[in-house]
Amino acid sequence: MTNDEKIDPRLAALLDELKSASARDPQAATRARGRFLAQAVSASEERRHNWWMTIFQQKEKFAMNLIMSALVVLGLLFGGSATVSAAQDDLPTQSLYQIKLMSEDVRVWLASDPNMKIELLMDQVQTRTEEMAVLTLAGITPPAELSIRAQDRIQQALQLAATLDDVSMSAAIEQIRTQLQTQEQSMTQLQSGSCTECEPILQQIRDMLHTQLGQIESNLADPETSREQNQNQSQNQVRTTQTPLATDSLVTPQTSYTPALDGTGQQNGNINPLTGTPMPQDPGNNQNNNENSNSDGSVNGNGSASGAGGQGGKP
Amino acid sequence: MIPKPDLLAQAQKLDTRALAEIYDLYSPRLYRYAVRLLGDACTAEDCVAETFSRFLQALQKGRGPRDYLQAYLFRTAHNFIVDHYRHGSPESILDDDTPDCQNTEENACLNIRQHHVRAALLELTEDQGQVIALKFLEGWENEEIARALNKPVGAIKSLQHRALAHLQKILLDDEV
Repeated sequence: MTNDEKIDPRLAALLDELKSASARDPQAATRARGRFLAQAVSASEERRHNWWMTIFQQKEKFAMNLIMSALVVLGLLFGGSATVSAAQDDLPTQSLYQIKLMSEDVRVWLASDPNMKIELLMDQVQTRTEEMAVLTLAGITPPAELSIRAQDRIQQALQLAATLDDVSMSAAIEQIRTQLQTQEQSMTQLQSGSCTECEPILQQIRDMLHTQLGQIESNLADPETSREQNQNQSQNQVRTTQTPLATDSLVTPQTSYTPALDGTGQQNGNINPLTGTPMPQDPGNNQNNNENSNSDGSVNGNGSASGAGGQGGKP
Repeated sequence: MIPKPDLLAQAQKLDTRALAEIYDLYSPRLYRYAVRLLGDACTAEDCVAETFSRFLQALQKGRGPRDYLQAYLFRTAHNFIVDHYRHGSPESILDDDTPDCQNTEENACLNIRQHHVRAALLELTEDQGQVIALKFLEGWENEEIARALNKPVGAIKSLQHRALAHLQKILLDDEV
């Protein structure tokens, strides 16, 4: 110690007397040390415990997030697929029918192979035919949307076939023809059933199938010309229409039209669902007026085919 | 044995070995400091225990000294001592009559003089008392005291000057 200031010796002596305080009791010192170390150990353990608790809570939070995420994913997977699965048997009059149509579109969209797409599209045509049959047997007039969608899918299948090489195209068109012939026969059988109210629409469907079969026959007779026609048709549609999910820009058939559908299968206005021709109110009038439809699917005449010109086939 | 510079770092992690070493290193000095200022062994033990207890609590809360552990411990001990006198009755010390040492044992006289010096120290401000105690009882340098009091060295010198003048007036002028 260096005293910077002069201190009175008497004061220094008095302060020095404080230094001679009694020595510490060793036992008291040992006890005090023991108490402090006990406190220290306790504090150390408490911190370690808190550290583990923090880690555990974080892990628990992480685990909970993981579990919740897994549950959501499983819910979406199983719940979503269960809904879609349940919708597969629905008819147009039932609530999940739109989900069924959307799942069909998704399936076609996901298929990368053109042959697979054609097969799926024709499966859809068959499904529509079966739905018509079920409704007809139940005495319910099938909604026009069914035939519209069926026709659209046939056209898409034909356009896809036109993109294949000659051998594959012939095989694909042959397959389409066989399926359409089967469906035409089914329609003929249904037409002879007991649902008299259904007969006009069934006749229209049968006519549509007949027309499509005629086109297929001409395709098979002159593959090159039909290929060009189908490809031109596809290009026109790409330019003039929006692309629905299911079709990879092969959307609207040349002879189809797009009546405004509100998503419930109901047709807005009196339009022939097979040809796009305005129809009279009388359901008995089932004439086809294909000449009234132009190539981009819009409607000539008084019938107002609303919507984004040529989005037929989109549910 | 943990190197001295690492002691505080280890203590901040509540390492019991480091805490034990700190206790062994500083508790005798703290006791000595406390007993000199308090004059009572039992209260001095309380002071040491309370000082280390506050130190431990501060470490648990992530606070406590970042450096200058010794300064921190002595500051804490001094606060305890000041609080003890504030809440106790220091007047009893100050009011003691000057004993007639000629007829008493030497130890008794010493105790009484010590009482007087402590009472005089209590008349100083808190900082002045601590400067005098650390400087003249513990033998610290001004720089160490400055660290303990978180003040510049110049302020410590100034405190020391005023404290000595005041003590001289209390303890020596009465004798005249």
